[in-house]
Amino acid sequence: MYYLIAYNSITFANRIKKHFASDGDFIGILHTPKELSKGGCSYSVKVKPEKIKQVLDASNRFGFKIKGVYKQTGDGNYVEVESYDISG
Amino acid sequence: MIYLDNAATTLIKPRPVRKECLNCLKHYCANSGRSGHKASMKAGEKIFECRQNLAGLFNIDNPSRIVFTQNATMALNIAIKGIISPDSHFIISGMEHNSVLRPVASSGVQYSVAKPDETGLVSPAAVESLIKENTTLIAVTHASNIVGTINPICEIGRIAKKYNIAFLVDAAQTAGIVPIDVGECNISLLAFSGHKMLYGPTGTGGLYISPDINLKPLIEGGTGSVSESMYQPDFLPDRFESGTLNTLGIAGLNEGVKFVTDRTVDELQNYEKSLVTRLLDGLSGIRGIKVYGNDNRVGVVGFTLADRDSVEVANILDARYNIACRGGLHCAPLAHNSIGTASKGLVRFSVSCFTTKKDIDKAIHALNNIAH
Repeated sequence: MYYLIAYNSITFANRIKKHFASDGDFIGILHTPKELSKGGCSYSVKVKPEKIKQVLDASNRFGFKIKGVYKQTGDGNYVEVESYDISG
Repeated sequence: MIYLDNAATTLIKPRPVRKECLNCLKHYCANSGRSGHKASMKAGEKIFECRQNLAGLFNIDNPSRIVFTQNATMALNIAIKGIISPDSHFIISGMEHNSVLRPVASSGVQYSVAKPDETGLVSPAAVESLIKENTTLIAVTHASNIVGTINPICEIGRIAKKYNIAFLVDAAQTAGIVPIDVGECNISLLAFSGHKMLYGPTGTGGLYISPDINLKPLIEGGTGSVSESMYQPDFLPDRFESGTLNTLGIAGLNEGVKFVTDRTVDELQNYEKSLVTRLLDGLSGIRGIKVYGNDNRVGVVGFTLADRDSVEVANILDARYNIACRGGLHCAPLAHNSIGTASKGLVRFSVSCFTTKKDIDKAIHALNNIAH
């Protein structure tokens, strides 16, 4: 199971990727699926659940606006996480 | 050919720059930030890497605040046209290139010119004396493109900060060859070329925009982001990067920046200084040569040869001696007026790290022959 964190700009996604470049658990970035990108183009960082807090913290530190956070469901689809409090 | 026109653009590029350009053309010269396929993602990654390396070079915290442009001229236009507001007043130095003078002059904004001394040096006091209540921008070239004189940008930056005025630095001649720290020098806007002392391909340049500066975009259009909106994104770099980026050029520039960083700016500057010292020594022995500028310069030397036309001298150097340099006004009539060389212009020799001592000696020998 993975999370997608969507950003408006590929520059933001690439900065997150570079930031976690030496982290073996980091998965990568991808073009956000159309149904998740709320009409526009965006890029998402794909991470394991245990990494999401670090990525959100880094995004906050860099001042990146997050377009949405999505959790992968058992059937491979994604559902939006309404609150970014994913500690539980 | 002996190439001494590096202030226009560096002709010889480091091997990694050429190699990466070919690699890019073969494998990933795609449109960054538009698609999700491997080539597009790789292009995006390379472009970001270049942004990050440039940020390191200029001590910029946030790489997103660097906007890629075609050249320094475009960067300067984005800065100047983006910051203009009604009833504002600008200060520009008397050593500015047309890429500053023309957008300022044509904008209708009220502006004052800080006169340099006879060597092209712009004093902080000259800038400060022109500040008015409605001054919103101070624009100064870091180093003159006609005589190479380096201006005290950190001192001028302190004045800009004291009066809360935006500070625009034209680093076309210094990025990669003179250390630049945007924070230390209170630089609000740093315009630089990628194809000169950063050794990237032509068609590359950039603009750093500090977080406290709000500019109107010069052009609007597709950015690959917030496509659902009919308005330009409000975040950087997308706000100022409409249209397909120059993936090929930026991939090459990235290697150029790494080359500069690996060699170090200090080492490159010291080497150029040694070439300039050798050149000045040689020129001092030639009757009729008058060199302009002072001892604190980049690798740019402007001179006249008696009353000879500067373009004619440059043409002879090219035709008879296969030496490439530039004569004339170098798109900087304001600067030539300031130092009194507007009527005949200057012959300009400009070096790079690929210029050799032998090249300098041959150029001196050629000028000696032309002079006699």
